[in-house]
Amino acid sequence: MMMRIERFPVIRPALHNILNLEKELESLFGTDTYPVAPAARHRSPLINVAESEKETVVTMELPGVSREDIKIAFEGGVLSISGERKERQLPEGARWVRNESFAGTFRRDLRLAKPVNAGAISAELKNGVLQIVVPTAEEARPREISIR
Amino acid sequence: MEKSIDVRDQQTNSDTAYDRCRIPAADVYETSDAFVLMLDLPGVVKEGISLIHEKGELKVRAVAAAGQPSDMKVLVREVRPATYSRTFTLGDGIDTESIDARFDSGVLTVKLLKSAASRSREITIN
Repeated sequence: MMMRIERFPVIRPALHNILNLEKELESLFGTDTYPVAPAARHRSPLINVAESEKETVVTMELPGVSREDIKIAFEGGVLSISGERKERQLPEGARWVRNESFAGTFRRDLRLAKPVNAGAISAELKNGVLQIVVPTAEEARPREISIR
Repeated sequence: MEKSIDVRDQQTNSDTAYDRCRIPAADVYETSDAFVLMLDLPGVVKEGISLIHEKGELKVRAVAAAGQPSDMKVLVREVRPATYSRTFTLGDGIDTESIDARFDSGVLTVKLLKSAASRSREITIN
């Protein structure tokens, strides 16, 4: 089988070299234009948190993770998101050329500042992003007092 | 692995530059008749992905859909709006006419069939 192997002369940070050395050596597929360690390879999935008066919204990047493998809990003011991204299974007779994606268990705990309505927390998994909406407790929401 | 974030301690960050580029993590496996490429593209919708094969290269570009509404106060921002971009050089042994791609759960899977000449096959001994 003829596969073209190309390597671009690039200067990479030393850490990337160490992390990727093994992978670069076994790469036969071809070389990426930007052969640096992808930012997505994190053991803790990346999150964003934003809030309004009504709610706190947490989003977490979980590409390739199924709903059944995610656990969300709220206890003592801490929102815990844990789960597992299962190792991709190779079809029989296949071999990895490159394997950069994260696999394994993950967990992130977020202490929320405001009292929340824990019973009304909702979550949705869409296009590899988990979105959790945590409503702020009624008594903690700012309210305007009308002057009589 | 465990990480705790106290939301109260986070600074508000209003940086919203959309021209950032992210390199998606890639898995590639090889079978006897194909290469299968899987790219993590969380937050992207199918319509936001461009997959172009040109001059022996496969270029993937994708724009992540808008995140939180702008009227919300940002407490933690580890993911910034960005464009995913990654280019793969294809070897000569790929049948570029039959590239098949699908997108599910934030993962783009591209199947690149090997050209007939480059497939491994068992030779029957007469």
